[in-house]
Amino acid sequence: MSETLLCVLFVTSSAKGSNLVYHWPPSPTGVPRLARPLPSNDFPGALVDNPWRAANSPDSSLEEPQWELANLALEDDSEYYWQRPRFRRDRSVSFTQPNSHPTSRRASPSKDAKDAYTLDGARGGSAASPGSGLTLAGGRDEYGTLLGYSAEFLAQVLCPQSALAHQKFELIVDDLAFVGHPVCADADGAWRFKPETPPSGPAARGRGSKKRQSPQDEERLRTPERDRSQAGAQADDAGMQTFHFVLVLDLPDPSSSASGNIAKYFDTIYEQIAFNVTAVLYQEQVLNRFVDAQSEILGALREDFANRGESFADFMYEALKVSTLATAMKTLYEAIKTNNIARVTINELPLELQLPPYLDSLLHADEDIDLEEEHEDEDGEPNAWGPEMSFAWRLPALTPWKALLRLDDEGEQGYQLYMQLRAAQLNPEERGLAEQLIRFLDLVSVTLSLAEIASLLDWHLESQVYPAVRWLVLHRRAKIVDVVHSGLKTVFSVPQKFPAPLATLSAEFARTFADKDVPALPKLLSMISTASHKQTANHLFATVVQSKDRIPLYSEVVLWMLKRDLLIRLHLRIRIVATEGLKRHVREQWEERRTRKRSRSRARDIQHGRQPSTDRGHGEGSNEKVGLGLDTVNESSPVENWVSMSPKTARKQARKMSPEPIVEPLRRHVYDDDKADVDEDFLSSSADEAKWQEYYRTGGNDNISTMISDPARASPPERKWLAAMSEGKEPHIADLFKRIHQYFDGKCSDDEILYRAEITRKQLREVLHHYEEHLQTFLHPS
Amino acid sequence: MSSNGASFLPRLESVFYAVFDVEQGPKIVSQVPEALIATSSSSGHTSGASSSTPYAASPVPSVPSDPDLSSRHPSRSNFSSPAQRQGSRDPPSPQKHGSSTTRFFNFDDISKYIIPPKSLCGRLVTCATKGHRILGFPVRLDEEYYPRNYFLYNVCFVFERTADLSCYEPVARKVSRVLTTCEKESRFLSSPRSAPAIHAILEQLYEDLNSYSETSIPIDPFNSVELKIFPFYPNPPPVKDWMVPLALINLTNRIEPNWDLTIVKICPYIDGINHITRIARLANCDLNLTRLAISHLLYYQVIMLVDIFQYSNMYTIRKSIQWLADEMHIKEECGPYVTKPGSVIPDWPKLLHLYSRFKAGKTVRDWMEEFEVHKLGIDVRRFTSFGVIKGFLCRVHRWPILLCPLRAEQPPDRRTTMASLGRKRGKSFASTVLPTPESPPTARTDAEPIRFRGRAPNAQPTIASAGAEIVAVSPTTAHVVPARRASAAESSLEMLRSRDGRKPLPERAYQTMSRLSGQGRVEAHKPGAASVAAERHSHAATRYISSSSPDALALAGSVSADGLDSEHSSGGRSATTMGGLFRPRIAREASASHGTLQGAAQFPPELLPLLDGEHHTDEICTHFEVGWPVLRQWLFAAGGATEGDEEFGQISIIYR
Repeated sequence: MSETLLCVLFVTSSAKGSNLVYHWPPSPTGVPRLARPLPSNDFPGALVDNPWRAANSPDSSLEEPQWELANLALEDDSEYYWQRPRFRRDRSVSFTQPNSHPTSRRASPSKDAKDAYTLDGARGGSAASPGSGLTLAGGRDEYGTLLGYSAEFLAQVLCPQSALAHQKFELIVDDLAFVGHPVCADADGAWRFKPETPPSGPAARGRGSKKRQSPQDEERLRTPERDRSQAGAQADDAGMQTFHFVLVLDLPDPSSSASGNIAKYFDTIYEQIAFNVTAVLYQEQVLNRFVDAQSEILGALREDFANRGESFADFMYEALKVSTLATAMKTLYEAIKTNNIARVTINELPLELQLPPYLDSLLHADEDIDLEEEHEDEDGEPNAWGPEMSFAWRLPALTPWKALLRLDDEGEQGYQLYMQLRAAQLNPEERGLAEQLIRFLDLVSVTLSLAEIASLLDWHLESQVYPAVRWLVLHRRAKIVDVVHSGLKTVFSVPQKFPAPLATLSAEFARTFADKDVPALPKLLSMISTASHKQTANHLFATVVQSKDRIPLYSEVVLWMLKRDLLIRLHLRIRIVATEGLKRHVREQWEERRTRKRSRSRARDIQHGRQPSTDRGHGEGSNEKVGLGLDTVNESSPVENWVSMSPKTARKQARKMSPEPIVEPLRRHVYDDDKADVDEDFLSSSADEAKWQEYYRTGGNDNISTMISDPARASPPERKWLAAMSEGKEPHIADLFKRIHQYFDGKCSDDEILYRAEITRKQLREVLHHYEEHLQTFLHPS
Repeated sequence: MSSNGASFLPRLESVFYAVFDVEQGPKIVSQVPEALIATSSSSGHTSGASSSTPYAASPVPSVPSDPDLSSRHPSRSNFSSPAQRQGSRDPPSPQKHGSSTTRFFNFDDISKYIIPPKSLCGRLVTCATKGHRILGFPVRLDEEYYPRNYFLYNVCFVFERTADLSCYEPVARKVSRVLTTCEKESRFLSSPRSAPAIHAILEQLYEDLNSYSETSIPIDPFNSVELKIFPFYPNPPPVKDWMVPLALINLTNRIEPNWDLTIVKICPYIDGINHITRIARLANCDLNLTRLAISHLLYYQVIMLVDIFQYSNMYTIRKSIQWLADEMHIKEECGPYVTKPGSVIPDWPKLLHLYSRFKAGKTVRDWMEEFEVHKLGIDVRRFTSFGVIKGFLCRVHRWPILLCPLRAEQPPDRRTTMASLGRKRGKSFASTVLPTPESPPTARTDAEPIRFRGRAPNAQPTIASAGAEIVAVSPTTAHVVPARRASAAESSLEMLRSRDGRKPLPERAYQTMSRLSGQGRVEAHKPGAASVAAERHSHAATRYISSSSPDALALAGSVSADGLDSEHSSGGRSATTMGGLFRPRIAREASASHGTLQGAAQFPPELLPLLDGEHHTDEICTHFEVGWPVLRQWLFAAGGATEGDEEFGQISIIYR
């Protein structure tokens, strides 16, 4: 939705001049602006605009004798409201007004040059209504004016030089912004596709395509293209030269949002709407002279109605009957205003257009910015949503452990979807695909994660499930939610902000569940939100449902609430802490072993001289250094030791991407300290020893506990601590812990851990229980 | 989103001055740096335009645009003036300024927005080419004096296409305004004698604005262009009375004599503890002005707003803890900030663990008890505010909602229900008093600092000092009945009764506010005319007699009723020092003081409309100037809960 959209308009220019062909809505009005601060009653006895009054008193400016009169006449607020200069009363503000022609501005602004060919009707009516605001009521004036300008003038200004055509157009005049993408005919007056554009797929798909992001692609943008058939080459002298589909926006208050947001806002509207509509129109113009025909129809109708003295509104509505372009503009405007997907048809070409649902929040600085600010994943995982849905959509991450909630179950849209899929299948291949899709849609439920769906359907997750999900979400037929336990044993919480006033929601809830035995919505929310801190029985089943036979009913309730974002799930994150006791214990072990090893390594040095290099990536140098005597290791550069570590770290990092294989080598590497193999022991810990030294030397403090912030890339001391945590634990628990502790970095959610490590929740709980003293849990929304 | 870069000023790429030339049509008279904007001053385009129409660009259609189109790239140099000819053929060749700068754009393309038709004159016009934005304010002066009866000029500022021009808009307007004045006064722009001076002005504009973001250019003895570009900040979010400003810099050090008076007055009270209503009262400032002043400080990002700290607050961690917990600066700052002086600083895992135990539904007090926080030497207020400031902790508010709002609509019934509620209330009140003494494990260790710091809504002086004064006053009141201590309801009853004998205690206003006792609700003797006044005044009474703090509640249990008497009496007086807001009510209260008290648990009637789930308890507490313990009692009463209930009867509370 775009709250600032004032109207959509369509202008053309030809040899005969520029025309405003059509616009919707009939009489757009902007948000009133203040010319100066409006004193509010909050300030008892203070007239906030006293300074203004003082500065503008009649004494100080003799040229404005009417000032006081106007002031006295307008005891209400109206004098504070800014009006476009044309209607402005208060002369003191518009300094550009010539003193000699006091009323000239109020008359038609387009008087000057174009007297020869402007509409006479426009001139006649305009003088009648100075000061009447933006909407001009009355007579034939409406044919000639729009937003305080004459239609003629607007058309002329909005049809730029051909040098500015085929690129983004942006013109801001005071409080109005005009955004569009003007296109023009070739120099010889023919409409054809531009040859310089690279071939591309179906361009006019109704969504901004991915390549539209970077400025260097701007070049490609200049010409919407599809197939570059040289059709429509017939030149026509009197034909249309330029057409321009313009979105008129009420310029948002720049101080209501952070800098740069408004530009982004305009860009998005341009990319999603203006460009796409123009692309289709251009194609149809080239192929079928569609725009020509439409503007002719509308132009003739306009003239006809104006001449017959019919009301402007009649013209507007009559136009909807005769022109598909007019209908499309109306549909588009209304869909944008209601935050829906605009399904328009331009010359029988269906087109779906929409703006990101949270676009308007760009303009409101007071909203929580954190919502908008997606913290980039450190691993740089590409956003699975794709570029077009990653901006102002506020979607949760698309991950295999999320579930899909369909939004259209009951609506007619869902039915349509099914019908479309079932009917009109051309060949068996597509039929098979459609059946698959129907199965997918039938299967989708909040209790199944996407990964489960993929395996049930035998689909590939990323190449088959994700595209389907993206399509459904883009068309607002589904949303991504967290998986809900089928027995409703899910711990829910209530979001900080509700999407609508609670009273509205409650009323809707009451209507939906009127005849069911369900507490009122506020009561329900209260029960859910107050229960979440309890240690046990905090899930929905225990707090609200309480009996098995009510699960179906409450499943419905949960769906209802999930659809309206009234429930969020809290996720568990886990961190590992090496406590003081543990650290001391490890140190004791280390010191003991070191004394043991020192004698051993001395002996070995004498035997071998130098250690053969290994595939572990330890530089010989570091081995040697350690081998030559741990007494000197203090002098050895820690940097060198770090460097010698790097290939291993890199490999480990690579392994982290594929979680399964990591376990084996890591375990061998990390936990074999006490194994019998002396060489292995020596090798694995030689570099580690250096780091130990380093660690203890540089103030590694055993008297405080330490957070192991990234267990998957644990440093040698941290690995020792991790190993020590498992001492005395049952082997299978310890094994499990080794497998999953890499996820205990405070960032992986419980769902993610379960998915990645392929363990059950029970197993996770077991680990959490047994390692309680070393683990910290965090419960927060994701 | 890009708030970090909000204050960067866009670079001014070029400034140019264009006029409508009588013979040539729209043309750039001078530009700085030179020759960056391609002009075709001698082209057929302008000559064609000037022949018949006052301005050139009017006929967009075919005739003028065609030659333009064809000539734009290949043959631009043919049309360019001699001065630019050598450079225009080969754009990357060094020109007068930047070595590899190409032409920005062609003036003819945009001339219709620079030297526009009349209806665009006197407006701020921003147009854009592919790589640039041009901000201008075309001015048209209609006078017989000029050859065409008007003079049309525009000073334009050129920026990168992506630049945010908000901060230059006033600059463009002002430059136009000054030049227009000059032109009107002395034909500065139109007379051939002075017109060349414009180039020097543009040069200085360009250099100064880019280098210093400000400039002062004397034009003639009477006029000069004085400009300063202010960095652009977005408007701050609305400021609410219950928010607590927290200074990010040392405000009081920076106060200058020309500062706004309200800001100067309130600055000393911005300490991360006082909320706005309280600051207004402490600083003796109007609440609206205080709000504005805070909002102003917020705009400059020298303060931030947190919530009121109370031991009844609930917090929860936020998503950002995922990565903030690993940030060095958080780890390092946290310990020293949250620990009381002289205590051992706990390690970060310990602190993080404590943070992670904050949950919706668990009050700070519960949390403190559960984890024995008082033993760690942690200043709990600083602990929570650290999390809130850093953004990984957030407050969980209570949002009470009345489930069946019927009762709110029937004031006549209320009296009876209140009467019955009043009876219950004695007990329920007592039950809330009970938890408080146990509450401070904190109080055991550091009662004083916590009381002082942690006290949320009221009380500048400590309870102790207020108590002392009360004791001093008490002998003068006649009714010393020990039994009154039994319940707060009775004490408030007593309090009201003794109002006749109240003594002026003029300077006691703030102490009074800090005090609490029960709260009184007066029932008029007779139904009828008097009841209206009584109701009103009783509401006023509740406003003043209430307290917000558990400590204060505890105190109420121990302080004698005399204290309450005097305290209340000073409550009446307090209005005089309080700055007009409540004075009328107080006067009414005094006149209607012959009420019979029914019970102390009565809630003000205005409470019920607020229980719609859209107002959280901080807001309601601030509105009525009571604390959560009192509001809790009110909610019990309003919800019709029976004693001992955990629930509030008809009132549900949503934590979010």
